[in-house]
Amino acid sequence: MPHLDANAELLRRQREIVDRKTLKKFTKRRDLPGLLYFFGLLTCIVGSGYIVFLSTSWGWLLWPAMLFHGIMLSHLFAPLHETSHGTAFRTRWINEAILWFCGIVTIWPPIYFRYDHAGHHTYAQEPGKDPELVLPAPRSLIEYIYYVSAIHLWIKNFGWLFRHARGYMHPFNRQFVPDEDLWRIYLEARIMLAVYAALIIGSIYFQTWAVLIYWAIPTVIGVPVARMLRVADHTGCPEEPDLHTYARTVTTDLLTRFFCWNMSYHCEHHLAPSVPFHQLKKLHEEVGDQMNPVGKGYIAVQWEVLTKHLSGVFPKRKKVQPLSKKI
Amino acid sequence: MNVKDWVFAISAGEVEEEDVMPAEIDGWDIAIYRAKGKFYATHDKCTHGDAYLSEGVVVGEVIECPLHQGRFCIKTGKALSAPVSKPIETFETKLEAGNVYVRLKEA
Ligand code: FES
Repeated sequence: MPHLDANAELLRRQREIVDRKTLKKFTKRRDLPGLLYFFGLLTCIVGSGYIVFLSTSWGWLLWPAMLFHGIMLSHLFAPLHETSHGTAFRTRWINEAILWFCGIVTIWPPIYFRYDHAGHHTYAQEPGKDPELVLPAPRSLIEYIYYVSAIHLWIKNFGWLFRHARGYMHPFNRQFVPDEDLWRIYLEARIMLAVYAALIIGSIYFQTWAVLIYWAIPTVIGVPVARMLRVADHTGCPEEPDLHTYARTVTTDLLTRFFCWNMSYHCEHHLAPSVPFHQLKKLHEEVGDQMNPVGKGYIAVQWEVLTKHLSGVFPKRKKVQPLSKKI
Repeated sequence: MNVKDWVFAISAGEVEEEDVMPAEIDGWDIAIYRAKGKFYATHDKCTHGDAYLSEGVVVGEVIECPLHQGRFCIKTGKALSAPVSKPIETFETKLEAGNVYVRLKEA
């Protein structure tokens, strides 16, 4: 059984910033905000899918239409993330249904993601420990492009799926999952691969391009936008366990906050992951000045990463501490 | 497993509806919950990591750990969702004269 010994320290640091009573105001669970956000996003996806449909007869216009549709689809990562925390809805089955839907569409194994993401919240920005450390220093332009293009994502996610489906988990990932729950992860991978296989077989049998043009190609070409949002969360922040500084809170507009489910308040999310996405703005108003509000938008942060936090074009050898103990 | 005597845990008024409070009983960290008007008690430590469930969020009859949002049933202690998989121990409670009493178990 993994024992995440860094946790008590994490809570102690949280209490230094916000007391229990204040936090309680923000942790109440509701269904309505999540439903509005989710069905709002779904409406955008159906709308962009319709544009793809219209453009199928316009030749090359199909590609920009699929790109736009893919960008919409890529934002399903936001509800996937929020439902993996279980904070998006008060009603549990709604939470789990949307978690699975988003996991299958975005090709993220949802139950494994829950474990992996717990590791991220415990060891955020700690090289060698954080399973979701994005572009640790020293980072190069090539690595940035590799990350944003999401090539790494497909290698990682399909790697998880194929390994888990044959009953094997990489030792690094294995540390986050208790023995008694391994079967769930393996079963999840088998179910997901069966769904994808059925889609491929169905497409061949019915001789249709629908899966390809409404889902597979848009997903691949649209996901870099969501990857750029992820870069802004932590990349370039100090690589040490300091709740005040290891994440960024980005200033952005209402529409972007809608698409990323308020993850622009990333410091506040790490401060208190029990706070649902729809309360993060209020938590920010309460404690934001103690956190790391960079006062910049996503594009400015991207520019900062490109101009200040890259060291050269080609990758350099990294010093990564080996995992010294089971966590 | 033998049970011990009833021990005072907390004044009922200190635990709001759909909330949890910590109590130290005989040197044990115990979490006292109030849900749907009833009181429940469990060990306070999460079985996944070093977190106190009394710092978590009560949703209906479920306690959600403050760190990774693992969930336990506060009535049975059953682990309900990842990343928790081991149950937490539960204890009997009774309400008397506005106070909550808990009966611990012999180790
Ligand atoms: S410490 Fe409780 S769920 Fe991880």
